[in-house]
Amino acid sequence: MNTPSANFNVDRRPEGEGGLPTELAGISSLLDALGAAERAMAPAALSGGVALASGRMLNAGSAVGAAGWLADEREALRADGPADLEVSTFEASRPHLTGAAAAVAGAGTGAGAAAALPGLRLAERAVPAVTAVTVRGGMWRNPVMRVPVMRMAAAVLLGGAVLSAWWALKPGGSTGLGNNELVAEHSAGAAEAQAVLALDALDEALRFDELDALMAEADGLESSMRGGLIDESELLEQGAM
Amino acid sequence: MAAALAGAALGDEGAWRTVVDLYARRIFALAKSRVRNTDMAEEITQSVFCTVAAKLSSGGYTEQGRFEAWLFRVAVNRIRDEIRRLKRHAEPTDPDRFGEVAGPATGPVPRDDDSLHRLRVAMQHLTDADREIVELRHHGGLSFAQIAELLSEPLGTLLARHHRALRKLKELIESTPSPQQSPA
Repeated sequence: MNTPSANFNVDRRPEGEGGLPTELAGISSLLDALGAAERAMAPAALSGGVALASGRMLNAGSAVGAAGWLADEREALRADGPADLEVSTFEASRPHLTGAAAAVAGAGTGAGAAAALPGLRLAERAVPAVTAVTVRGGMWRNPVMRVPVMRMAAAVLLGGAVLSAWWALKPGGSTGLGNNELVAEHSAGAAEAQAVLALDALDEALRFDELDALMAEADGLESSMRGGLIDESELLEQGAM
Repeated sequence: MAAALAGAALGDEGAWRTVVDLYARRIFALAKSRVRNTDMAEEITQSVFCTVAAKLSSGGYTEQGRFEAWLFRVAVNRIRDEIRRLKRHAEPTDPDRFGEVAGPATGPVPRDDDSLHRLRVAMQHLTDADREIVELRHHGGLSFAQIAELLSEPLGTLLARHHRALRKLKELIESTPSPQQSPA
């Protein structure tokens, strides 16, 4: 016996194009066409890129694996186009960083979630270093940028820097850090620089020993922003000083 | 799917590719429809799969045959966050850019593009809640049962809202003159 709900094929299409009134069948089909058109607009590299990046993120477990993959990606980029990254120094000139990150990852029970907590703690410490790096580099003095760069630093420790760097560097791509405006403004060159700066930031963070107060300041800043207490344009002005 | 998810949780790139190939375009289309920006939609898609990767590896998701609904819940939450962020950052549009936004002012518009363009514009007149249902259904390709579960809505209510949204879209499109019908 049919119940009212049985008149709808709720697992796919409503019965006969809807349980839908006939006059709505046309608009429903048009919406299907629009959905198909939007799906077709997905960049060709989207599926493969996300798959590779996500899989590698799980596998990395430490900055050592991340650096290896980053090197592979760099070579691939170099073969494909003009990208010429400085991130190769990550492996060669910063053994203390690679070792420390690996140690952090190893402090848990191995790869994955156990490594995440100490990794994030260390990444938090990178915030003031990021500020220092941005001032030195003359870019992103805006304190608003501390948070996304902090995320990048966290990703470095978890092997995800590779993920962000890969996305930042692909043609027309974005950083995956939630700062499209920045990328839109500065294009791929800035995104590339951001990846390098994040590595620098993490590098320097490991040498800083008076970071807690600055970290608290950054925490307060982020909390205030989330609560809508601070106008970000004001922060921009402060950061530009 | 269960095998692919199990493999993905262990970092098997082939399994990841399977999972992502199945869903990335649907997530992308959902995001693209809302934020109207290809780069941002791509970024949202990436972010969704990063969340999924983290959850799978940490045991934050247990496969019970509802991965698709769970995945789209992650996506919807991510898109909502982005929309809130965009609204906070909204700025007046430079009048000089109106032409770019509106597209060419003259010239024939292909019939199909015209219809889809008018539909895109009409969708902006839906409430966020109704638009979300339409997009989950037609861009994300979810069943009504999955959408009802995802949005915690009774199925009957959801179907009624979907019908209402379609009716409004139909009225909006019919009341908008086609560029092909407008004087050049």
